[in-house]
Amino acid sequence: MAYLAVSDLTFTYHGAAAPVLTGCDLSVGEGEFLLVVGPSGCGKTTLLRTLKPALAPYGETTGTITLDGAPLDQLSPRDAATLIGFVGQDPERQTVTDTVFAEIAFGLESTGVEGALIAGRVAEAAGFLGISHLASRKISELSGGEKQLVNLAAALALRPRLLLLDEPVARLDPPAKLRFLSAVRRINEEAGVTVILVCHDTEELFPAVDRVAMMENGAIKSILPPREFVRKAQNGDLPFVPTVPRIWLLSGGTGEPPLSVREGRAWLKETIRATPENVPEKGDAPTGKEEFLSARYLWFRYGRNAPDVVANLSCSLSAGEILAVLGPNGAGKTTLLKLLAGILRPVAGTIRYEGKKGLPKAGRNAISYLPQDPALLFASDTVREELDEMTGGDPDGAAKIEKLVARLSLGGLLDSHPYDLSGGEQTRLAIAKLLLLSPRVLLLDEPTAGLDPVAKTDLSTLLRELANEGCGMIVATHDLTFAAETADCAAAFFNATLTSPADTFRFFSANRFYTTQAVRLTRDLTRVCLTADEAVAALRKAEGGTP
Amino acid sequence: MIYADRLHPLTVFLFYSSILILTMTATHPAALLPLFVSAVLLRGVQIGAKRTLAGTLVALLLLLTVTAINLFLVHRGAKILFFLNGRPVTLEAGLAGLSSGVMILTVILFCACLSRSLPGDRLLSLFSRRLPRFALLLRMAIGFLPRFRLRYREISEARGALGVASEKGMIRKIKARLSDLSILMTLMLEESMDRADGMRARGYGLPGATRAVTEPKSRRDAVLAVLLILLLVPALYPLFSGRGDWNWYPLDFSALIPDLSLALFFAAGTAIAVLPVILEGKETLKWHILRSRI
Repeated sequence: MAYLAVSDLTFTYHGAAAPVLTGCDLSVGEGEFLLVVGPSGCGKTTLLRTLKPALAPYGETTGTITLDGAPLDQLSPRDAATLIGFVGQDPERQTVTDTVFAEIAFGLESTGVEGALIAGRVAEAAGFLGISHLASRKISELSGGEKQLVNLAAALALRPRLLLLDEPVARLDPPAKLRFLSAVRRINEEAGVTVILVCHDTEELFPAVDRVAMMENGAIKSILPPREFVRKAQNGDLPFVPTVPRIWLLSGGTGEPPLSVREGRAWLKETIRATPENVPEKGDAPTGKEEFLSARYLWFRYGRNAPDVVANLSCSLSAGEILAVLGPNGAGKTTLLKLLAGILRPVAGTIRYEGKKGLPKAGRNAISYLPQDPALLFASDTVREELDEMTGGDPDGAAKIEKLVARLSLGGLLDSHPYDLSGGEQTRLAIAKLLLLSPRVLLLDEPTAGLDPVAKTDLSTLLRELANEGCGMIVATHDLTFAAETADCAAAFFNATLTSPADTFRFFSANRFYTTQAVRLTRDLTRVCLTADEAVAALRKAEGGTP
Repeated sequence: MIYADRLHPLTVFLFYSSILILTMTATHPAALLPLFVSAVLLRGVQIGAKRTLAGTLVALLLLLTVTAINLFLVHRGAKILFFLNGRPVTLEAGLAGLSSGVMILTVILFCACLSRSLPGDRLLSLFSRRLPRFALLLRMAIGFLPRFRLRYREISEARGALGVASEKGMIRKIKARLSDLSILMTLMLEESMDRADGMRARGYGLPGATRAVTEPKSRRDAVLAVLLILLLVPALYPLFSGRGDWNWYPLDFSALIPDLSLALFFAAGTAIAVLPVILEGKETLKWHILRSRI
């Protein structure tokens, strides 16, 4: 008997023409860990919210949902609040109070747990997730990862039997992501809580989950154990298959699909039985290109007695070059971008632009900055007005906009409200706004946060094209795969400064742990490959070469 | 404030409110002066003699100002010091001003002591049982403010870097600021929708909400509360009987020293103010001795 059973669920938003969910069938066993994947806009979030009565969107629903044998709508509001826990995407937007203790206690107070017992319940949830030491801290002083753990603890304190997680790690850096996911895994394994997790980044999840559900156009297309999912993956599923099994699949692997790097290396060793090829060093080092934006010995801190956020940092960028600045959240990547954009002034050090000291005036043909949240740039009611704002007074404006709209496929969205766009569409619109200024340098802050794999690949392609047209770019990101696919050079932000930038290939192939899955898989076994595509190509070539 | 940390906030709050009421109603110099001395001592115990004395100059300035105002505004009294613009400047007016100044200074000092003994969140927890909606609203507002500021800064930075705002003209600049604010409002509305979801998801609005008990009462609280009530009855007696009233005009030096029964009532009031000094002082001393032993 399934714990949660959804059958033939259809949902249409109030006033919308077409339904978002079109006949969803889902059955989840008690204690199961289910991963739900699918492209943006396929109805994952709507499905998840429909499963939590207090969050159910407003509209027309048909079909049935039962929880533990009883229809979901017959659940009392109190039971619905406690039995079903929910954590959403943005860590900033879910907290209600000012301190961690009050935050975790909030649900317990709302559902009427006896006052004297609340502290104990808070302690239990916080202790289980390893955040007891944060109890008296102010929420506003926590990092994003810590906030998200507090949100999880707040749901956990209510002792849920079903946990619904809507892209909870999309905005976290890799260490915080792993910490959150391992906490979820423990809740599932040690407490037997049923978990339904919606997540784009499946890399670490395939070895952990029981089944993977693929959603497409408002329905569940398939729901399979991870290895089955890999074996039966077709074109549309591929972006959601993690690097290691994707390499296995595309290079025509046999036997059981490997899910982790360890399994992948065992398979690879078995398959190639070849001595590692000598790593061909790409001719790189100082490229001799003229650097037109450079910073020397920058220092910055936010207050006289505050710690240094940027200390003795030097870097440079030449035309058409993409530099990836890697590192965890809070390391100072954003501060560096703001210094180079002229938003902040360095305490010491010089920035040179086109050989001259100082930065150009903000505006056309200069340096443009894309903040992490693209919505910060949106001031109008429609996409069209957003774009018109940037060309005020330019006679060629309309033509430029038309070209950009076609290039960034914003055509169908011109009359939408910018806030109604998906994450990937918002990023594209923000970039379009910046491109209307014909910038020489683009500074991008975490442009992949919250994007699905397809949108990420599109963005990577777009940035490469812009680079080929001569636009220099600095991309601050903690997405290593994205950096490996996109950037020419990479440098790590560590201890308030940048390690010396190296060619992307050198950077990732030299690292053992802080590198992409593909490098971890192929290191020492064959030619080191940065991305899944490279690895697949290399393996195919190796097969072709050895009869 | 180390000792106060171990007390229920209600105990601390009752003590300080009693002391503040006594100070604000004290007109007799024999009642006020001991309160002033204990305020200085308590501050000294809390933040150290050096930092307390560092405030002397500001305190003197305050005393001087209040005294001077009274001196030149009030012309009653028998002991005329000199004439200014043909009006008498009297000793009584000066002393009355000085006494008001001391009273204000004492209130300020005790308020400073209170905020150290009972930091914001403990004070808030005191009201959250009685006024849960208000307390939650306050907590939300406190949590919300830093976000509001941060968001506005991010928006104006990002929009500023676009270069749209820096283009010529005052009107354009004002327009740019206004559009920054409109973005902030839209974002904040969006966020509050998500926040409301977060609240509903955790059962907000269900009947029968409770409050977490975070501050258990101890025997120490009970003892101190009983002691406070026992002292408060005689301490308030001079106020309600009118025996503690003091009149500066005209000046009667012989009345400065109260008779024995009035002195005992004043002593009760002083005891309430001295008790925190003794308790905190003992604590401070203990730590000094402990540290010297390590």
